[in-house]
Amino acid sequence: MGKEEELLIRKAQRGNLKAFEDLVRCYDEKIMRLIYNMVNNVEDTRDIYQEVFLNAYKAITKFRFESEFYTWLYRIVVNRCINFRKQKARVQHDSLDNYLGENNSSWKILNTSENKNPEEDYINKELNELIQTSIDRLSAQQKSVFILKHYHGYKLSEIATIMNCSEGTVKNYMFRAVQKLKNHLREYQQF
Amino acid sequence: MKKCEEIRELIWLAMYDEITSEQNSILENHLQTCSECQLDYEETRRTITLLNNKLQLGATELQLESSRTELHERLLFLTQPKLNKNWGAKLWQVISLDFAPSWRFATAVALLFIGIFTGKFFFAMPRTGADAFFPSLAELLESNISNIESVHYDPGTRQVAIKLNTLNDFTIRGDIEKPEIQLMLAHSLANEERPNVRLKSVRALEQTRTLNDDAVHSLADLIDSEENTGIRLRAVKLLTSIPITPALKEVLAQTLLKVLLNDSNSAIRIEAFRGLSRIENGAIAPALFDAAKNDSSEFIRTKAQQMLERTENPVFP
Repeated sequence: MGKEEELLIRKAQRGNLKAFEDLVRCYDEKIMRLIYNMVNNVEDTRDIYQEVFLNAYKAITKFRFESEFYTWLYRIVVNRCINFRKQKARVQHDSLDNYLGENNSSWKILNTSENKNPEEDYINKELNELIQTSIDRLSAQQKSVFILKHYHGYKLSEIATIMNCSEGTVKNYMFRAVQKLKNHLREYQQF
Repeated sequence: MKKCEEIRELIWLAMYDEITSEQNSILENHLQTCSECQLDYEETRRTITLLNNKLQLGATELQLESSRTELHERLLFLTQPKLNKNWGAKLWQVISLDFAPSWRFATAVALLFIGIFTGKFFFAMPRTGADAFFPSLAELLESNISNIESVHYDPGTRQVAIKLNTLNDFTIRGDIEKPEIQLMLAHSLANEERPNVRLKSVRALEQTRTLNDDAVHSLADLIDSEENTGIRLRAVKLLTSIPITPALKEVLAQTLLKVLLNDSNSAIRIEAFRGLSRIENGAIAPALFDAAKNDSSEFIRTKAQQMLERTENPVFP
């Protein structure tokens, strides 16, 4: 943790709103992406974003500098997303068409090439849906670990800190997640 | 010699670069002699590559600023200075300063009765003939303006709250399966000018287990007139997902065929084509084939041809 960040945290702990908002700016883009990967719904992502940072503000005085600030923050995110999933009666995936394109400049796809024809676009979206369905079949913990590892690139040791469990447990979740995904996507790969 | 089960754990660790050099040596040695583990290694590698196809959505600066602004307002509200708790005590001191305890009690009872009568006077207003404060459902539905301020669906309780744009902020609440709620949502689809309210209405209807006929007809009308591509696609998807009853089959088929013939957006036409295929139970009807064979989307043309070839007894050559 840098000295600058430590200073901002201490100021935020004393009630300095601007310091807290500066901290938010450092992490919110990645956190927004993480929330979307966890819940796969834009409206829910916006709502959870607000809840996460409000909760972080209320709890910041409890941060004791025993870990990195981002792992503390990410723990709030992961816990909120896991609880959100339990509350939601049915998982509602987004159609990305509602949020992309010329008429909407709020969201962008980070990992696609441009100049696709509609058929390729449709096939990619079908594959995306299949992958998302497979990921949603994982348990909450397996899904969290898998997303943090595969789509966000965190080390197993970092994920263990975020999830507040041992590295062995994280390895176990990740192994089972990969096995389940392999089994579920096997049919598609053979086709 | 490591067992294959132990090796499988090393395979994924290697894929994600979480393996030690010692473990890597063990893995490589084992893979040279075990064909089963080699296959597993390949399959794991292909799966992980496939998973990279999941679309990663990121917020633009515009969205981030919007969220930050909203957060800022919420934080301001949260950090508002609380009312001085001594106010109550000071007020009580003022009221009871020159009073004996029995008079304090009498003052409290008097204040209570004043409060009750004040409440009855201001809030128990009789209905008038021009009743704009408590509109009936029939009056609302007769209007060509939706009068809907917002729609909110709670997935936990499956309750919908429809806030109306009336003088006293009237809100209709109810379970999403209730016919009256679906009627209001259908009314919103037909008459609401703001696209975000129409979108929320479609999203709420997506949560129902059964759609009543009014909602289906409203969706069909919405698809015909909706300019917003995202809402139109969502409405078409909803129609293609509902159970097909004999009563609805014709209106669904007509609506989807119209979309296939006229919609400018190929993704929406593809969705309509899928819906029509489902209605026809995988067979290809002449009207569907005619509409699809000339479509500008090669995907639709190809799928229609494939369906025709699979039909055992084609109706036409």
